[in-house]
Amino acid sequence: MAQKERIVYEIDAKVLNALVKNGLGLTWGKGSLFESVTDHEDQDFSDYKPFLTDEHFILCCKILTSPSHWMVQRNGGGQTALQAAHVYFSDSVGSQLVLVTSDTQSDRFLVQLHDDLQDYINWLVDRFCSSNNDLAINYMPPKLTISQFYMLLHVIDSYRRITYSNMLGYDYKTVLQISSKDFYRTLRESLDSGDSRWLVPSVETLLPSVKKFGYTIDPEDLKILFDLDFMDGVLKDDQGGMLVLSDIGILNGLEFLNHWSASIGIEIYGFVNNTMKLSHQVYIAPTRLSNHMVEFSYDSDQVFVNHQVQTKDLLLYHLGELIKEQLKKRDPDLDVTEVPEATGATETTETKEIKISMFCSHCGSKLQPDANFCNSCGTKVN
Amino acid sequence: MDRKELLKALFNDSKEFDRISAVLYASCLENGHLGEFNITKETVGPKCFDLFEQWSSLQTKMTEYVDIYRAMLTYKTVSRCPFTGETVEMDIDLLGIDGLWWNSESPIRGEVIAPSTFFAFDGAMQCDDQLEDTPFEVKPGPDIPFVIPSLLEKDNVKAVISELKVGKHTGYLIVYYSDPFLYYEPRVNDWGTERYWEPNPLIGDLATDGKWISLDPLKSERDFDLLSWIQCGKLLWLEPEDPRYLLHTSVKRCPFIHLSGETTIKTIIGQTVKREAPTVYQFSEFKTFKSRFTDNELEQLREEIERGES
Repeated sequence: MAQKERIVYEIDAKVLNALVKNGLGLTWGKGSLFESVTDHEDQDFSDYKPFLTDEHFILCCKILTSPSHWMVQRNGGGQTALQAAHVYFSDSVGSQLVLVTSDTQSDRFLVQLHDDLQDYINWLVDRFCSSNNDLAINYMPPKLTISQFYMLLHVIDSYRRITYSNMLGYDYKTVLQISSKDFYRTLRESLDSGDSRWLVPSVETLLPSVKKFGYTIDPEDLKILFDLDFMDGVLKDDQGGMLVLSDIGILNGLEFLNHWSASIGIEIYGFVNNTMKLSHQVYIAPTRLSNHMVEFSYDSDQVFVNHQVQTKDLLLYHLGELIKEQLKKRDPDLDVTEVPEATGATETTETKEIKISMFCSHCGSKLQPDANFCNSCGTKVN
Repeated sequence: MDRKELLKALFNDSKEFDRISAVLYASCLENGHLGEFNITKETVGPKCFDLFEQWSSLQTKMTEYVDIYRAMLTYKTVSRCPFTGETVEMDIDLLGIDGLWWNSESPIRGEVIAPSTFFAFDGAMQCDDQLEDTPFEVKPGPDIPFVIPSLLEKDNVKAVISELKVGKHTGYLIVYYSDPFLYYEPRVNDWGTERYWEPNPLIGDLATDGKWISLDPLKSERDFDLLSWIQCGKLLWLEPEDPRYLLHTSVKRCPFIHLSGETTIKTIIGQTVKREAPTVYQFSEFKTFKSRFTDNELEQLREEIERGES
């Protein structure tokens, strides 16, 4: 099926402010792209004069200057460079929405108009997601804590690590294994690295807001690897135990090694008490086999994860429903001070601490916070 | 009064109530209230006033007993939705199948506390040899669990199987979930009952909020091969007595495959088990080919062919 052509305006980043303010006489409202920007107001916009009579461009600018909601859409990870776009909705203007991408190399904005939410979702899914309509198995069914979820994702990353390492050493192994100590250490390093070529850090690179709520990576959660059969068993050795990848662990690893090229992170914001607050986050990791869609929820100081595998049709439906539900959470009268809090998370300025519990490097026992020595074997904690 | 005493008293009163009801009904008919089962002081006539009072007080007592029974039922987590991760809670009577929860015709049950994806629930039960004496029909399903392919085949439907101890028996609960919800799609009677509730998505002034429907899958619509449904990710399972209610997708360690037992639906009443007739495959009668030709004509034809004339 032929892809629908959409209008895209390419504008010099320095000119947009002057074009909107002086050319169209619009002012940047709360939550808009240039809410508090006064730069380049006197910039010459004569090259863009035809835009001033273009009804679609005027519509774009009206939406951009008076948004009721906006989303940050980040693409990247795997084998693809990171790219961010902002999506603006305006209740007062209409059902259309505007996607703004910044091209940092040419210092230009790409402004793309979409007829409505479904048009945007169709574009997003067609462009970035798997078109497979055969339902795959969800090996990570809900409800998981983020710590358990990262452990499972790290099995996939570990499969890739072991495979690359074996290939570099011209080594072929039928049993793929990693010591629990190495597994835990590399998970910690991976999270710290922010290197979105790996699955675990790609989540927080594409959704930085997840980090803001704070969570604990608990070594006890290693149990989930056995409960969900990602690992087959622990073979005790001097490394504190070996984790052997099971068929399910290998299947998931293979899927991402061969078929994952990029992910999408979507953060949805809406007005609460006159300020834009985060209301929902979605992470999508498409592979050629399926679309892995992850939603986050916050409950009694815990971050929970709902991972689902979606066919293209189901993804179109669920993504549409999810964003629609968030858009309903609006505060139409910005002067009203008594506005109910948006459910879900609110954006905070400070980043909460992410606690990573420790294992003893010698015996593998869980360490007490701030411990200097292991209670089980007495090894000094580094 | 404990559960056992309560049920005993209730069942005894119920027998007496049925006996008196029959007498009063006959009296109603005698008094010209034909075809009308409306027992009132007026319809039974002065001859049966005392009996009517007894009937009336029994009715009140039985209602009180049912209320006490209902209050004894406590909600337990029995399943988890594979789409939302939310748990499902039911007030299922786990003390025995003699509880009114298991009365197939008029079960006493509270509403299921479940996410909007909750679609249907069915089950099976491996019964202990020592059965409770139930005055009503109990329909706990076959001995081993099964799924209904016509439901599970749909892209947006998944099921979760879990185990429940019901007295000395082992129950298998299969909950179907649908996301998005499939309105108007035929489902299956709630486990142990003869009906399920079909909600109406168009609730308005002119519409009701739903209706009861009765639908049991045909024998041929039950699939006892759970392994293949787990392998394709459509059937998930909960480990018995796991307090975390963690959903599993792997066939490894799954306690619900390779179970042995009867696959026919059973009905239990008064410690007696009745089973539906086993499936008998009936082949249509083999019809012999009837030739258009007589033997002589055929012989003639054969000779003509041999001569190259035909």
